[in-house]
Amino acid sequence: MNDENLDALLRTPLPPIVDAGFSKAVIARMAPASHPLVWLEIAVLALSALLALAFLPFRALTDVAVQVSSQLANSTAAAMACLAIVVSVYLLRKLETD
Amino acid sequence: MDEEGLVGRAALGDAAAFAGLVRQHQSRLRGFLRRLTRGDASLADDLAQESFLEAWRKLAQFRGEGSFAVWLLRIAWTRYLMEARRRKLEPLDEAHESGDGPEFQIPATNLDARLDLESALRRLSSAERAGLTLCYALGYSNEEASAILDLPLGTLKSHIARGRAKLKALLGNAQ
Repeated sequence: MNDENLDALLRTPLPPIVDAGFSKAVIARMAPASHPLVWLEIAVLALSALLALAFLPFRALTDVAVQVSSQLANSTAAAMACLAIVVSVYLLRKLETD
Repeated sequence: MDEEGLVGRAALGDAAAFAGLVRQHQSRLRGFLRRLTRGDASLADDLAQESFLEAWRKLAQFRGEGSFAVWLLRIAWTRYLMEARRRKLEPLDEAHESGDGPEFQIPATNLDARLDLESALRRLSSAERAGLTLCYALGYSNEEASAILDLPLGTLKSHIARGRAKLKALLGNAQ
């Protein structure tokens, strides 16, 4: 066998291997990874919430909140918007997991 | 989403993104490991699975200096070496480095050439098989292959040259 023939033979790509459940088996064995950034996000959110609780003028906001919430509760458009958001989030999550 | 995006998301713990990487790379990795294990599909798949799981655990350490595939293949090669030592696979390689002639008849038809190559490759050492597979069948550069096998470039080239010479002798005798 000469060099050219050997080269051609060696350069033949490896035959593709059908997944046949291999990926699923790997994914099933995957332990949840630690998420340093997620913990950071949680810490920032918790700190923001504490600051908000400490400094927001709740008494002044209460009247406005009552007024807005009663308007929202009676609003069909707001209800439809909430429903659309919930359905969208559900579908997105389902697409990601599939 | 491109590979860089998937790697970035997986590094943040996104299992769905990593699943995409597994699906993308499983065929190559399993094929490479099947070559290394001399066609033992079951052992190759076990090693491939362990390699992916190790990659998932260590993904935060991947700095993106080379491609994800190169990094993954390096993990697989290390896993294979550990398993070969555990199972004492290397003596079989060494037994065939004595320069004895081939013990099998090779048909001269093109149809059988691939099978002949696979049989002949099994007679080579692990490093020779790996080097030839990476640089020829998988199309990596010598630099990438030396990074995967953690060998100096000169050593890799020697393995490839020695492997080629052995293959020529093994395959040439049948023609």
